[in-house]
Amino acid sequence: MILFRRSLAFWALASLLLVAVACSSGEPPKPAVEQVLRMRMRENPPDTDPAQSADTLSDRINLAIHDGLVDFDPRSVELIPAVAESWDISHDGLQFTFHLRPGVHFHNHRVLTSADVVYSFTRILDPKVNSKRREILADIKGAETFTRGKSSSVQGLEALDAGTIRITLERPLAYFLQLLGTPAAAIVPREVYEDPQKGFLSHPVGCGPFKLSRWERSQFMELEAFGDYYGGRPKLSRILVRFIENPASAMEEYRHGGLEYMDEMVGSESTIAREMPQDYRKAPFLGTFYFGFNLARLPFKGNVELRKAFNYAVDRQALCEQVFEGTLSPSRGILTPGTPGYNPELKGYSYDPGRARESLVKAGYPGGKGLPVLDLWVNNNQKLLEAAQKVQADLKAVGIPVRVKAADFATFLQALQGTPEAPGEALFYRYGWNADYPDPDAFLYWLLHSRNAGPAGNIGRYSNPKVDALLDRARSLVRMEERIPLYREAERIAVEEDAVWLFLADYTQRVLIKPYVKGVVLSPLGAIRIPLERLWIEAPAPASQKPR
Amino acid sequence: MDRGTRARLAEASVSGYLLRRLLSLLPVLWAVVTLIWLILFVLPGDPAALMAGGLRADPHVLATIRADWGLDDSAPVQYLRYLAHLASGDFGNSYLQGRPVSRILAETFPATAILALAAMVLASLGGVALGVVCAAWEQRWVDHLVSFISLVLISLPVFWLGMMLILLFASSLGWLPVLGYGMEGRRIPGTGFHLPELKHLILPALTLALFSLGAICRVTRASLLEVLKQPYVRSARAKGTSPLALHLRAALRNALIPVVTVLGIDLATLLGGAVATEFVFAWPGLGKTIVHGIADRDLPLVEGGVICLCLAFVLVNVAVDLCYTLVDPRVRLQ
Repeated sequence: MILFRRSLAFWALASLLLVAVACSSGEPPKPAVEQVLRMRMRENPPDTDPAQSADTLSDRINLAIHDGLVDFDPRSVELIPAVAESWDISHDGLQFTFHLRPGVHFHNHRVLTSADVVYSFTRILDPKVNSKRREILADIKGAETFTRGKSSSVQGLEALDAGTIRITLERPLAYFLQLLGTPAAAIVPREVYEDPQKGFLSHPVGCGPFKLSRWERSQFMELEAFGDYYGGRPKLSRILVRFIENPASAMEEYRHGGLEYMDEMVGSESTIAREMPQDYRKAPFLGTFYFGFNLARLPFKGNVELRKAFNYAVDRQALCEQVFEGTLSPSRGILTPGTPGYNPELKGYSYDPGRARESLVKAGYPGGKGLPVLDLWVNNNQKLLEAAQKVQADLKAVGIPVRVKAADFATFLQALQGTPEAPGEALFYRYGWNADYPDPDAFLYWLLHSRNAGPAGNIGRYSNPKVDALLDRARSLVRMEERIPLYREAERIAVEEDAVWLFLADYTQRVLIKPYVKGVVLSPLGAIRIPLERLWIEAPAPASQKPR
Repeated sequence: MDRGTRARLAEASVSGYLLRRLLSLLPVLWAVVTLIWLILFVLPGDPAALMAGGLRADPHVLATIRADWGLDDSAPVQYLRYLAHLASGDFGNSYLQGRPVSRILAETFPATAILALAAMVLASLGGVALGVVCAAWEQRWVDHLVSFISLVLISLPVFWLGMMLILLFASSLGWLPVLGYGMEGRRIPGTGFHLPELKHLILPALTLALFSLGAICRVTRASLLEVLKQPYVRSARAKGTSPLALHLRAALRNALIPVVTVLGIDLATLLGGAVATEFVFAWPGLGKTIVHGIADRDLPLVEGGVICLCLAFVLVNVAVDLCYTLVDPRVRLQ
């Protein structure tokens, strides 16, 4: 009986203790939050081979799966170590010696070595691969002879030992390290990427923070945290990339809780920002938006006053406020704020219809008389069409006749690009440029150098030997403080002396991200650079927001 | 003639009919392939420029792509090469995806077929039922109301209707998912294809069905009213057959021939015309794939998709012809 009483007392005491513990801890313990990020992408990534990664969809996926020798800090865009933990640069700026981080694994669990780096970079230069991003490594010693098939290896790529690689350049290239941070310069395992059947296109293998676990085309792509990632296992256990083409449907899905991340918005952005103030994020972006002139054809060829007339005639401020609702900011030149070498003192062009009319007189078209009706080519997109119509109205006010010509992207592209030898038929067209790496060269060399006339970037076929010489000289210098004055002078000539295009606006990036997604940093290099490996989900999702 | 001989003769008749229909398909396919090829060839836009990276492309890469894909060859050479591959059963590789077109079709066509069939089931059940109701209460308020709704459904743009259904059933009521195909559908063994989840199928199927439902309802009503005027129906009515039995047993079967025709045409149209629904509901179907192919000037993909739809169209029509014999024993295949 005593035993029974003692036992009863023991259980009563234990129960009381349990109740006390439960009360002291407040609410019952919360279930662990499922670390899943569901993000929208318009469609399947066209190129899961990093050597061919040349669009934002492919870059987004490739940056999650692959890593290169170096990376960019998402906030400051400064170079940070990635697969290489450190590097040395020779005094003449020609040799780069990279020391690889020990214990970097590919998703197939093989250890990455310097031979993989040599293989990956040789592959980009291989004529059989025909990489769209060959230019990032084109300055390595022996790259040209290798690509032309005159040598069997690239002389400037040497694996010194399993953990060290030396890259020698033909000529100094100040931003060579930045080029190695682009998605195309990823390190890939030879045994996977030598597959003649190209199995790597459906099952890419890299050494990045996430590995592909499932890909149902046109439905979703599932990325799983890579446990052996050298930077530590990502906090997100998986990422579900959902392919939703119609942005209106995707917006409903976001509102409904089926997505944590949206890269495109439908309707008035100011309304969306008011509706979801904690979700709406806006940040600077290294990209410029303009309407280009075909400088190889009349009436723009050789007529700088006409080009200046266009620039004075357009009210950029009103364009940014009325059409883009303040999401874009008027530009004064080519380089955008945040780009090294950005010149805040560049005057650019103010809205001045009076000066536009004066310039038209000097151009030989007083009041616009004698000017043919110019087609303004725009690819089908509602905002771009509205922008074109606003510019059309401003130009008409000073007597310049313009007709908006909307076309599907393929037609638009053909009208613009032409061939390296012959310009396209479009005389006046919308254009935009994003920097792949944070350097003035990423804008000025590709857009202005006569070497890149045509599809390579200089669509307008601008050619000024003085600007070419400045850009070539700036490329060959190593010290940024020596390069910047040269880039600024090249930009000043192109903008103020030559009025190479109709300067309009600097891009910004706007995305919707649920407030319970933490660790988000919007990089000036674009939303594709949001560091997925640093994100985590903080609050438990409500019932309607459970991952599906 | 004994029963076995009769069955054998009927079987031979059906086989011969099918063979003739399939053979007659060959010139149709050739004409369609040629027409599509010509249209895509003369359209402005260079697939090589799109493959090379769009707005920014290395001229050397562009030249290599053109050479690799034979895009520099003359039009007749490209056309004949394509026909030769097609004749050997090779649809080629998609320019943009770099994968065999046959694999892309195998991934996307079943999704479209499932959507179209589900829509057809909903539309035919609803349309026939409403058509019977209209005919039974001809010129009464029910008839007027249903006829008005049918007309509205036929006139509504699918894109708009889809978005409205999403707002109602997914966003407001929360009964159904907004979009997508679902991740947990049953995988069909031996194929890479998995079925959609039922809850994901309902809204897109309903969107497509509502469009067809109106037409089926109107045809059923008209056809049924026509049959109800036949002398044998009047006799049955005079003999005291109940109105329900009169409509459903005596008249409906004979009224179904034009309905079956409309169903066949609708199903074939839905197979190729589900693109707006696929777009709204992020449905991974063939229609959307073909539209992308056109935008990307992806000739092998568009050709493959159109051939697939052509075949489906013809097969559906053959099935409709066979259905006639089931619905009306007087109909014989010739």
